[in-house]
Amino acid sequence: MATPLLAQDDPLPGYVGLAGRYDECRAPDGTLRPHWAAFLGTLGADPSATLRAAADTCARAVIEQDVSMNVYAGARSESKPWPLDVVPQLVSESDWQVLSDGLRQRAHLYNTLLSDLYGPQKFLRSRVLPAQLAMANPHFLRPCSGLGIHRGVFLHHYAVDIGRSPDGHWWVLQDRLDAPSGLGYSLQNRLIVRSTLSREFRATQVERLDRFFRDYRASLSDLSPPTNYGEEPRIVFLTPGPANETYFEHAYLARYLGYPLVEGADLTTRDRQVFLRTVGGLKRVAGIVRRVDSGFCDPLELNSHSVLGVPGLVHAAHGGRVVLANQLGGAALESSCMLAFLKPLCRSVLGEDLRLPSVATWWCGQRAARDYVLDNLSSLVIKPSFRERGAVSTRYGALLSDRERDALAANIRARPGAYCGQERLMLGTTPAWSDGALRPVPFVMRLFVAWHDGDYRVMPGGLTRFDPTGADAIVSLQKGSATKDVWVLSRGAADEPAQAAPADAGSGYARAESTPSRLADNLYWLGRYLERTAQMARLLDLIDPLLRHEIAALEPAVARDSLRILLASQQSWSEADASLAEMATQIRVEADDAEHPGSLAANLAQLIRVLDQVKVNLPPEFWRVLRRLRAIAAQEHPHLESDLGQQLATIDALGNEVLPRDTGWHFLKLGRRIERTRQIIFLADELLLPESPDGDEPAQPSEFRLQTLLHFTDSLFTYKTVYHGQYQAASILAWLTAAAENPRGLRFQAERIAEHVAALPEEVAPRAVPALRAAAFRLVSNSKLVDPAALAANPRMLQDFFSSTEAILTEINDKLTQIYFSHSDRPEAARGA
Amino acid sequence: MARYSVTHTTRYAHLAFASASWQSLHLQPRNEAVQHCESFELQVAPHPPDLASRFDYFGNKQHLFTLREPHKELVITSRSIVRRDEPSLPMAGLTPAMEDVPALVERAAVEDDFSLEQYLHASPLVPLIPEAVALLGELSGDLPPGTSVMDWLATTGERFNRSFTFDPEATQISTPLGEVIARRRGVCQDFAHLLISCLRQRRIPAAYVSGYILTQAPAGKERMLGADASHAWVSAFVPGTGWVDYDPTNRCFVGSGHIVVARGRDFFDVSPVKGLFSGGGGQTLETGVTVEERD
Repeated sequence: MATPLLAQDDPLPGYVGLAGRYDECRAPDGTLRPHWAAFLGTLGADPSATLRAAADTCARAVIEQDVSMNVYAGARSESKPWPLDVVPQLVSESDWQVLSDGLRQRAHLYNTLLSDLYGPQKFLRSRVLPAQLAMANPHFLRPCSGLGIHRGVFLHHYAVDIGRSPDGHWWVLQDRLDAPSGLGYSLQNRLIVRSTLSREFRATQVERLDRFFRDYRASLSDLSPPTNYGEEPRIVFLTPGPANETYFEHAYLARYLGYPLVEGADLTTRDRQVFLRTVGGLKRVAGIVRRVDSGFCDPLELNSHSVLGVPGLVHAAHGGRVVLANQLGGAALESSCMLAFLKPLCRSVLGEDLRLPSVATWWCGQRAARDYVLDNLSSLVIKPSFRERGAVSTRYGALLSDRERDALAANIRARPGAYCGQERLMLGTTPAWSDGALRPVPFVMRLFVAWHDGDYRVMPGGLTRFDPTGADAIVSLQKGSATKDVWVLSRGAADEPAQAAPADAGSGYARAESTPSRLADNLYWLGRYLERTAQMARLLDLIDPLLRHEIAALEPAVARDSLRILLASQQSWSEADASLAEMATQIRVEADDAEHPGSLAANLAQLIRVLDQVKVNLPPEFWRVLRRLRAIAAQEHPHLESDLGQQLATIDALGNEVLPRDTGWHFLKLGRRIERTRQIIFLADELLLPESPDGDEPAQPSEFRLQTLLHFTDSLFTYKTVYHGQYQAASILAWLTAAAENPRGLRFQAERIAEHVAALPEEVAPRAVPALRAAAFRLVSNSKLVDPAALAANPRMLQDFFSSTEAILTEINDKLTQIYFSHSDRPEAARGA
Repeated sequence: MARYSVTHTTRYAHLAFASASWQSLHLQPRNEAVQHCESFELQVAPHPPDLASRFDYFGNKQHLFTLREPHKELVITSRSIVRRDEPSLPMAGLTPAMEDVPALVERAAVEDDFSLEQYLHASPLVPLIPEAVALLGELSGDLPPGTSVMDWLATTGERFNRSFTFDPEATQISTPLGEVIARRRGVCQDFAHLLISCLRQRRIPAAYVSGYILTQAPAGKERMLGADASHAWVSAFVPGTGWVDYDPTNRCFVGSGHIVVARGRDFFDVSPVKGLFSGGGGQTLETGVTVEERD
């Protein structure tokens, strides 16, 4: 097994680098590089055994923490676990010096270039950069012109992909200047790997990441424009939403940084300022960490088809009273062809030599470069000059047939400016755990830079990506590449004490009334669907006992009415001559049909949809329930899944025991209470006042009918306890309406509704909120002042009582929507004039 | 010299109340060598609290506002008084031959004005489609070598005009250029976009101009097409001379009777009124332009 070159005590017999590539671990002479030898030394006598165990732990942690993957490929997809290799990428102190110096310079350079591009355009005038690269560039956003003139920073954060060439030098493969991703995943990787290899991590002296994030946060606060009354500036994290592939890390990062996670619809502009729509009204936003691509940020002045943006954002940016991190427009310089000009630009703009080289690039818009590319087509990588929809895809010259290569050459000759050629870097390799052993894999490392205090800081860590099959093309995570944590080694690192997450919960904007309207709306509907689904599940469970009950045979009208109610709540009905068994079958078939409106399956689907929307605001316990609910919904017969009711009860219990009592919580409970009130009225109305075909006054309900109502409203047990089994209409109605002690009764719901309404913010609508509260009080007094004996004696009074309660409920629902869910007005493009 | 008063009204009517609106306007006539905007007044009803303006990348004045009160109707009226001189056209014989243009343009873009470059490439509403090249072959393929740019423009423009029918019903803003060519119908905007695509593919920098022409023709003259709404035409860069405006809808070089509002790469850059509404349940749009000559 062991190659003769290796020493006897080599901890990695069998690990050999790939020919012609630089390996991070083993030097060409067969010895281990010192930092790898030290790391392997921490793994104990049998590194393979340690790593095997760690890989298992790591994989479990990924699944337990539900890393990202549920949302990573969109809300509906069956998610793969986040691909994380437990073996870290090690970066030696001397390598880090080179990298961080180079990246800081690069960030300064790009910041200056972007400020100039969206300002005086000196470097276009001086011809250091061919004008075409800006003027024909679809990512140069002309409405943003002028944003570079403002004082301050254009490029707040920035990411690069970097690789190592066979001679050991680092080369930048691409720059990400607009809304780079990966920072959140890096952090998540670090937390998992650090806890998996905790002993090794401590023994290795690895640079910590928390300071970088603290600085990043402080820097945004410092740059944000001053707020009124000495308030803490409100900074939000703008995401394209749950459908985005990297939504997980948006949620993760927002939480870590302590910024509210918002979508475009949560924000609005007026008078050149940006506001967050909250249940407490509009709250001014001082800073936006932006993960929506620039072009999609403002349907008024940029891509008018975008539903992710905020109308007026560009104009607000021009006003300078909101900090955008990053400022709009950075994608213009992300083009691969820029790499061909970075060296001269650095000379001319910063007056320095470019420290960290870019992979050799030739832009075909220049004659000499085009000739070179055409002459070397078979060895180069050919890329579109500008990344955009419908652009040509990246082609590897070496992989093309002669005919394909000729066709490509013809295209380049026809539209030279649209292409650039790049040298194919033989990427260096690093050990990865694969099939029970460490094997060398070619890697690309993503590093992150952020502005702080007049300079840039490089995060001492990063995100390494590699193809687990050992292939070498730069693969995307979408296409199955895997990731690693990056450990930057430093002798001084261990001195710094570990720090908690930087989010400080005590800051001003965590106040309850800043709950975004959209979140409040979603939580309200979470409450409503939760109640509706639980109710449907419970009623379905009651079918069998109902049909088996001996009185059902004696009083078949009650059984029939009960089944009719179940059908009605599924928005369905049956033929007049259908047998009870046929009706029961129809109910069960429809219950499992998610396409059938009002069915259990349809309500469950809605519940899952809303839970997906709000899950990032809920603790992980909810996520587990959500996973189980998804599994139930995927079954052929969801209504037969015995733990459905239990899962729903778990959500309820978690809601009471785990969630903070903030405004959002009140909306969740309001949804629940309002829905339960509706259900009680619906059931009582249908059972006690069944429509008579002859239009007769409804008869006095029989004892069995009353008992069934108690059963359906889940009040039978409590009623029996309190009334010792006397089924009298007056006392049953009293228990369901006026009794404050019955948690399934109307008065109980009304009092809770009034309490929750009283806890909602008031200043948002000084007239409408008191009206809402008055409605809630009427609901309470309606049930409190009712005379159950009179109701029992007079069906018409009963009817009036039900309809008045229903009317107040509708009023409350409408007012809640109008006052607090104002985000619902989404802008639409008008036809141009 | 001529003086004009221009009134441009845009009226959105909604079926239901719109709760908010965001608008971006390009309505203020430019100041240029032969044109001076003496006064400009913008009226918006309901009155927006935050009307603001800035110069855009092309040097046009852009106004923006947000409306935050429920409204069923939004009326934007601009009134300008514009003084305009007859631009002097270069003598055709003194302009370079067509075949020399690409090299001269390239040099001008490098040495004089890098921004020429943006008028040579596709822009949001002007794709560089092969159909436009074919159309150009059809229109000007027979012109002899050595034809000067100005003669080439005049002839091509004239033939372009004759092979298309002005038809306000035929197209919308979203109608692709290929379809305009296939149907040989359209409005001033389509003709401008199409001619721009042709010119850019011949390496002549070409820009889009939005503006107005006289509503009522002077006595004894025919009324021009495109007079009762915003008009649009093309500006072509002639090396050695500069930008020359040509109106393919009325097959003429632009004189003192055209009023320039804004210049850009295409309609996307300079649309007179562009906006978003929230709520309102759909809307109808009416525009009216009146241009009168003053003493």
